[in-house]
Amino acid sequence: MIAPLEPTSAPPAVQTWSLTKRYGELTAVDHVDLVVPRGAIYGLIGPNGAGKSTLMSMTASLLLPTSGRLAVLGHDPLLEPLEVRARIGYMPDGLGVYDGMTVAEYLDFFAGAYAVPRADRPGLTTGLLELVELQVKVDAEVNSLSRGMKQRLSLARALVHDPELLILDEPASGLDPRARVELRQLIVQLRDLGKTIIVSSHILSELQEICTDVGIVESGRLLASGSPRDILERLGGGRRVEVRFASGEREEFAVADETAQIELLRRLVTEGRDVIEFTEISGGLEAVFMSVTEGIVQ
Amino acid sequence: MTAASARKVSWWRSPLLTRELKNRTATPRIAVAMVVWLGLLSVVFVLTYQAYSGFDGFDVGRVAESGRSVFEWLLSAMLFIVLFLVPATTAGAIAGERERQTLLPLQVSMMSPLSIVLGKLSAAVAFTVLLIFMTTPLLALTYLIGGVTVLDLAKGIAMVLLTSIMVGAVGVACSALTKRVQVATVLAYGFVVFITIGTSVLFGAAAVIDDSRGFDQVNPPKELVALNPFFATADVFDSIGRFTGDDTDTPLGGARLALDETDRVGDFQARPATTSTRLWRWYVVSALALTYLAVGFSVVRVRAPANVER
Repeated sequence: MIAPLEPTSAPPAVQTWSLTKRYGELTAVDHVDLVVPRGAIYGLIGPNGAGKSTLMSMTASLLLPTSGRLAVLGHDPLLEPLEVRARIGYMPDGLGVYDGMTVAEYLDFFAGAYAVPRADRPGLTTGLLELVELQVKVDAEVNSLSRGMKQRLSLARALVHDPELLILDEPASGLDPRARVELRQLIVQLRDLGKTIIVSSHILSELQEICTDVGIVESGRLLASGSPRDILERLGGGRRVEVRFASGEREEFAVADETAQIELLRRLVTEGRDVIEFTEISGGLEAVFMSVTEGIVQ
Repeated sequence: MTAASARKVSWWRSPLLTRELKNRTATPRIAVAMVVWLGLLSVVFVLTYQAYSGFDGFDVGRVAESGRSVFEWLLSAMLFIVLFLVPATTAGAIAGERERQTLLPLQVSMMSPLSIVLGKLSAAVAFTVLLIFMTTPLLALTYLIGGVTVLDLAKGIAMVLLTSIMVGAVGVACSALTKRVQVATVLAYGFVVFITIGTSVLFGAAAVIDDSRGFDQVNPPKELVALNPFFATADVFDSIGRFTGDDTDTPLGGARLALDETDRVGDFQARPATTSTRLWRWYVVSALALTYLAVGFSVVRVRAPANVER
């Protein structure tokens, strides 16, 4: 996992207060209090239809909340949508490509849509294509690219105006395993460039390696939010250790923390028991996710 | 990389406008459209000129009628082609962006909804302007034949242009209303059919009802055809009767005749310029109002944040 963030005095990249979105009878986002620290890779994890995209759309100044408030980089998307849009890069679920446009023309088009000066655009296009490793496709038609390449181009599009915050809605959707790994590496690279990134997925394993913070969402509610370590400690049900002895016997022990874990091993050895294997069996975030979301469904 | 400042992109500097213009002018389709446009209008020109120029001797009135008839046939054809083309070029404006999933990235960019809508509309109108510009030599020939003043040419072109702006704006509004290009296309053509055929039928039906009541004067409300571009364009010109005591045998002449006949009972007399019904003024006001409303509606439909994602 990526190292956790250092505490900072800057206001959060995104903060919501009891944010709610209803479509008639359906509550898509239900009183969500979310804090995304600056410089974080914040993973929004939840099953399909959990409300992740709706939450992201409100953050991207596309949707009006039914109630509650939100601030993006210190600006209210409802009152100052342009201030927000100048500072965020949004990559929706769909790729959004024009027919008959080359990769370079595509980036130039969106650079124009963000009022990037014409003189800056060639260098910008080259830099972005190098970043997403598509420089060899500069003259290729966008429609001829593979899905993975289109996703990377879409990410480059979201970066044309050098935003502080990136909102990536299911960026790994439909990608093959190699493309997923490359995308994850790219996200980490962007974080190293100082960007804050909110990324959603319904597949936890895609995110848990790279996220500094995670939010588990289901039925519109934010069930847990924080660093993976915090969530594990709060919701993981404590550590459990499985010990296999020379006799073939297996035994499980509950331990409070690492110190207790060390103490346990020492005690077993002192007692003369032949320990062959000593394994922490916490299921990690995936187990937390399963237990927390199952609780809601039930 | 360059951080964007929080300023809007003006519609005339919008990359959408540049792209739309490029798409409309840099493809083989534009060449085909230009050939068809000029070909059709040239055929109209030649046929009507031949039809009206076959008289013996020199008669100023007949020459004037011939030039005017060719001009009005050309204008009618231009109106017809504009009414046929513009819905097709605007109905995909917003719905097409939705279908391609490119609307969301535009909505979160620095382009305002007005910039998106006007970018689309102005590209469609620019295309019409190009076609009208290409027709200038043909229109100029009618001026040389006679019966047409420079003011007539300007009025005719203005009516075609206004019609294309109105139909274009309604086409964009239809596109903003629906999620599918096909539905938007049907709606836009439905509007065209309504303002042309629908209003004519309503006007005719109102005249028949008036007549059946045995009134001395058949006088259906002219407002029924206030949005009909053919009636309005017909009305913008004075009758050719000032030269010949008769009107032109063209669709526009027919429309004028219908307007005049409902004003009078008995022998038709050419309408003097001073007693014109001035229907065209209704048309200009209605078309501008409708354009304003259609653009406003489109802006509301494209604006974000919204209650539902569009």
